[in-house]
Amino acid sequence: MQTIQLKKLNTGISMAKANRLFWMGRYAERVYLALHLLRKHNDLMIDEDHDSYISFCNKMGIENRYSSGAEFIMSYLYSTENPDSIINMLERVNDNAILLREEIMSETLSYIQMSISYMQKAREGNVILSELQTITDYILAFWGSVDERILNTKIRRTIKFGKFVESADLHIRFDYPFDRIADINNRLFEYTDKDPELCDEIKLIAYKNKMSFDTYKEPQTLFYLNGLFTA
Amino acid sequence: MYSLLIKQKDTVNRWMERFGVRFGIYKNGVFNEQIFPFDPIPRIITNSDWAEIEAGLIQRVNALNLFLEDIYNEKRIVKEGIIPEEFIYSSKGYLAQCEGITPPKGIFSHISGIDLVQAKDGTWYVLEDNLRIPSGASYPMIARDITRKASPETFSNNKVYDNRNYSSLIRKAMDYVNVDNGLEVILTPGRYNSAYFEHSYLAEKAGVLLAYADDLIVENDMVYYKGLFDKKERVGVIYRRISDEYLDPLAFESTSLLGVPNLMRAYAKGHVAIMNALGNGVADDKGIYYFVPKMVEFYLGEKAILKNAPTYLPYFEEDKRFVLDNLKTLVIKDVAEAGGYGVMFGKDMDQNQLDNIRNLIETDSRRWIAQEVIDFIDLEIMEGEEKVYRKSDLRAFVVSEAETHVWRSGLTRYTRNPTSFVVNSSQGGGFKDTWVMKK
Repeated sequence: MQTIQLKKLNTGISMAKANRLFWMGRYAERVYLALHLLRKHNDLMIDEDHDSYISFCNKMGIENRYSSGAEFIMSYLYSTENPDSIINMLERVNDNAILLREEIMSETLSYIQMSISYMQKAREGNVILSELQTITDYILAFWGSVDERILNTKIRRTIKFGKFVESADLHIRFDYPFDRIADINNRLFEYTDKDPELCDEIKLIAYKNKMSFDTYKEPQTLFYLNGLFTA
Repeated sequence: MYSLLIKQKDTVNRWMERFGVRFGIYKNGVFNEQIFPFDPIPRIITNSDWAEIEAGLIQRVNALNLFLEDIYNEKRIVKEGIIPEEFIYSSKGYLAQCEGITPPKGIFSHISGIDLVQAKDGTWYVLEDNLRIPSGASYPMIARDITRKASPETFSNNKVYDNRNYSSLIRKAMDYVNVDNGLEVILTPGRYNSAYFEHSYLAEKAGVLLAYADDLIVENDMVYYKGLFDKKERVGVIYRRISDEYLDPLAFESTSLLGVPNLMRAYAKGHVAIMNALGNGVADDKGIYYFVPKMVEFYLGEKAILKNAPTYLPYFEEDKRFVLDNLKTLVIKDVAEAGGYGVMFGKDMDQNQLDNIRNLIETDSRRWIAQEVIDFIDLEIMEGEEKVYRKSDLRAFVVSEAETHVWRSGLTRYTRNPTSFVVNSSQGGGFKDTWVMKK
């Protein structure tokens, strides 16, 4: 009988790698949702609420350093000097992703690389917000690639853990209805329950306890949510 | 032959950008990542030329491996007067800590990067041996992957050896020397190393872990990969991309944050294989280069197939006189430098510089070698829409495991400066794919 010699599987996740995976997931989701929320506030700024960017900053928890809606949009999208900007968020995704090539593979990494290149060109041309749908498309393709192309379950789950922590965080900050938050939590708990070793059990219980219609918007909720990851 | 490929230049560049094919460069202390300029016109090596290069490289690397084995053990080559002992012990690459150590399976240089140039008469010359951490193979490897996508017809019309097996060669070498079937890792100094792209790309393609210094720990003279929550897994082989002096702060440079404390102890006990072995720098010292053809004769009893560039060692009185009398026509190299630094062409020096170098050669002759300037061939490159000619070299990669293999491709680097002979990427050069033809 012929025997098949299997190659050694070189797998391992160090603390640093787990952190990179988690934060890559968080930042990628932050880019996606920040663009989505920005579009909503930009729409309000057209004719209903010219100062809607102020409430955006407040909800996002970032400093309002802008004198007008127009200045806010350009700086928040493209300024490399603005630590809160989307171009800097993308750099943070890349900072983590580029250190994870051997786990997420060039194919998945390429969507982040393309986002960075596109964003840099858009910045040079002062491209308007609607044209940044391409970034949204790349990020969605990135998530598709994470889901379909990364076969190591632990790697994939750690990235998605980060994604859903960020998603819950921003949805709570931006006053999304409770049932929407509950749906996002259901996705988040898929990862905390399957990989309990990466999750602070006490904070998870505390976070779950906050998940009622009356308490989910309390500041403590975000504190527990943001302390869930423990690697 | 490759005209279709030239038409796809923009497509190729888009793919390069997509895959983040970059290299890092420090200028004035600031790190910048940039796209490595790629020229779509390949260097083409005929099958018969390659047969000779391949045989010559296998012979050369086998001799260099035997030299390293000898120099850290019996030192027959010194005892028999082939190489003066000063050339060994004064070499910056010689590590006394490696005395008496033979690495797993007796291989010192698992991955050798041999720099060659082709003279206008067609003769190939070896310019330099790189036996520490030669880099660059990933670029032609990914370039081929992209050019095959961009212009499939080019490759159905030309019979070119596929070069995308480089990572398999590396993996095979790692498997071969792996101690106790441990984990296989590439140890990188991190993102701000000029070759970081290569480290991460090879880790992906070879199916090994990319590790940073903090990921590894030595306990009881064994190396472990630190997993989550103190779960440790034994490491059997490390393809290190960190220089000897930074590899273990307890054995070498004590301020190094890139290394793994006590790694040298684990290595000395044979508990882990390190690719390439520590102390290899003694064999790729520019001064030792002069003796490689003699090594081939000494260890293998054969004449060297590949020629060295005509080289003079001012250490020998007769050579010193010749060098000092002919400074203006020679290229002078500082043996302590690498990456295209410390290379001076006599024809470009003014009288002050010539006097200065003359003094230096007189006072510290071991530090210098001099070579005749080889008028090597110019290769066509695309500059915008125009074809121009530029100097280039070829870095061939030789992988040693149970047998010695030459990767059927190589990194062709070219200078973008029309008057320069220096092709290093750190000096602004670009690269080409290297086609080795099947027929």
